[in-house]
Amino acid sequence: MSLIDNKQALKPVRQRNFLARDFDGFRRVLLDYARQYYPDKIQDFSEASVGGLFLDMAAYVGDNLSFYLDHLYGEMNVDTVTETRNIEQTIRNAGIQITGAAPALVLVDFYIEVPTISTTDSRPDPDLLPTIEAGCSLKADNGVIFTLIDDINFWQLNASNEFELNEDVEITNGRTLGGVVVTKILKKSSICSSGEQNTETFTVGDFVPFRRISLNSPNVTSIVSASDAKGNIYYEVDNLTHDVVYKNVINVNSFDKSLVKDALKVVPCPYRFVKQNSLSDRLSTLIFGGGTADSLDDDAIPDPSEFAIPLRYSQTFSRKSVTPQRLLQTSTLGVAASNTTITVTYRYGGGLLHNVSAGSIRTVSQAVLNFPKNPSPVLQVQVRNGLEVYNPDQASGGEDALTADELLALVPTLRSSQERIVTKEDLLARVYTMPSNFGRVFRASVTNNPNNPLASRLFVISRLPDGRLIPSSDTLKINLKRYLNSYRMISDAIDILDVEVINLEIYFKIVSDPRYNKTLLLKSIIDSLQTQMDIKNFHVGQPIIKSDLVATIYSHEGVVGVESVTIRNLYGTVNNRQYSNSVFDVRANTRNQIIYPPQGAMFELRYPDVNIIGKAVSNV
Amino acid sequence: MAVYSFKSVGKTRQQSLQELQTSKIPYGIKTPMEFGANGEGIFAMNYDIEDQLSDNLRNLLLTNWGERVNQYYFGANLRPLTTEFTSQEDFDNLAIERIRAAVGQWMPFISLTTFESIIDRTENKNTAVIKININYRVPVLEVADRAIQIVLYAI
Repeated sequence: MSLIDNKQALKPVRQRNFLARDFDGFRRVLLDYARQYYPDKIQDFSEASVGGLFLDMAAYVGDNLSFYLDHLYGEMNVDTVTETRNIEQTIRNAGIQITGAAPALVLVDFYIEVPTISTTDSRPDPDLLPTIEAGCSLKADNGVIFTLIDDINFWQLNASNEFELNEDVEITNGRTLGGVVVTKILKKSSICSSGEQNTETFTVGDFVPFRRISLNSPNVTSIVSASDAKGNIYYEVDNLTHDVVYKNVINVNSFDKSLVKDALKVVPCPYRFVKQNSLSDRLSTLIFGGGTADSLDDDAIPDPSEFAIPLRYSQTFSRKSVTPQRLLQTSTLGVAASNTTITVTYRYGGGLLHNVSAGSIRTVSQAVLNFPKNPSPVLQVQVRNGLEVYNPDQASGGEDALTADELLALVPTLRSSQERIVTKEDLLARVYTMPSNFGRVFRASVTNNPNNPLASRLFVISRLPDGRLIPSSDTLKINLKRYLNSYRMISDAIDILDVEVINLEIYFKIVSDPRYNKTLLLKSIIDSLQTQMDIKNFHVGQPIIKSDLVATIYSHEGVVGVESVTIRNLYGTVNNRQYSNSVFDVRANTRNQIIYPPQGAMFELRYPDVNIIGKAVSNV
Repeated sequence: MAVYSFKSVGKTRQQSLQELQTSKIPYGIKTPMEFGANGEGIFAMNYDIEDQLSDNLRNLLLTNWGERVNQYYFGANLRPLTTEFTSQEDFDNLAIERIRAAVGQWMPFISLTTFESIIDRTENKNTAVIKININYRVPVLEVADRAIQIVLYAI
């Protein structure tokens, strides 16, 4: 044995060169190899010879393999990935949902006119109190459709289980007849989301594991419902291994329902699917489970107590990893629909244009009112016809879809966050990736809370359709709170605050070359400064470097000198234009030609067309 | 009395040297390619450097741009001339120019001497057979007056 090993060790080893990576390199080392080891077989490897042809082909194959090896490794790296499908895969692997354009959210006041009980009792008739069903469709002046997210109940049951006016309803007097109030105007507010709702039906054949169906509308923000003809309800999950979902149901406990409106319920979901959005066309694909109904091996109703680690025939047990999302002991990845018809209702659409102004939602396109006491049809029609809506506040949260580059920028932080908010970067990444049907903030920043070492301060700000900054609505913040709550550490606290917007004005004076038209030169400089100061280029806490502005001005041909660049703070109402009320001392906050904002503040040129003023004098 | 090891080749030094001097070392693969005979190897080989150069020159002249892997501009690129064949004079001028350029780049040690083209339409009036005769020398090898003929078909 050792003799063979020695012979093997003494056997002459042919020297090979592994440094070649491209065509010329491979050709060179192959030529060296052939000349070294086969000089007696062939000598001519010139380009015109057949030997040279073979050499070229071998080098070509090596070059190709080398190229694809490099490409392959490039595609696995978040910084160098180029192919759309690989970008999608990288983003998904990091746990980021590819979202479409985000819809806007707005609080809408719903008004109904309800007859009083009698001429002597001016209370609204409780028999005529309706429920406005979720899905009620409203139209803004610019044509954007808003939909009511939750049912609006104008009634509630009292302790005696009798119908009475809901305590959240505001009442004002309606019409009078002979000095007697005969109707009451009832107002209740609820959140509406922009975008439209669509229902599609898919006929599916024999069982196919992990069946895929594609929805026709882009920018799907949420799947409202999915069910098949057999009555099975399909639930959307983050991953097909998640076999339960958490659902909010109305809290019916009389002792605390005024404090806690909804209760969280664990719902088993043997019929489930995941949603994948395409980066290229923003279309959504639903991917169903990999099993059949016959292979279900779990109980229809889960009992969390059965999840306890069994302690059979032993008095000890070792550490065990637990997945909170997996409470059913099932080996399937969900049931795929087969030989049935699947009906999917979903919401889609969004964007900056959906941030409609206050008072622009006044039209009810479609509404379903239910009357639990079932009064006469005439009275039902009377109440239904009296339905009016109005949004007192600006809609916010509508944003255009994140681009591939923006999504990739989130990958490094989200990849290491592991579904928990641990660092500030985790928190920011979570804020920006909040499901778009809850609205989206434009910019967010995290700082320490000086009063509480366990708390952080999260500053958020939204944007109007024309790009101006606007404080995020309370609804958006509430949604943000709920969303972040499921990811934060149990002992962490996050204070959600508005970003302080500091409006600025730039005034510059230049010395121009007399050969150049001053007006055109100034317009060109102002255009460049507008681009540089575009709000998309700014983040919370980002300073302004004056020398950058000077450099931009100097970059224009015809500018001989920059006499001054002055930045001023604008606040309140100036020339009939409304600015934020933040007062900012530019001079006191300027150090070494850099203007620093306070903590949690952001600079903005609110009206770029008028907030940059230039003056040119000729050098004659 | 000398003692020989059985590992000895059994030949004298003179015999070995003579064998080495007379043994034929192949230069390159002969074209058109054919299987080797009599233990020659997989392919038939050229043992004469002049034949090898003649093969290489023929291959160079019959190769068109884009045909060679990773060497796009290898070849004399004569085929395009056959698809726009109008007059023999024009063809000759362009062909000479291309052949001279290709040989100058890829086989600069060859000195071209004469060019002759013969247009033959006897078999088919619509398709001309173009026979190109080229005489050349290889000064570094002191090879004089070799000739090759290549055949093209004008469409």
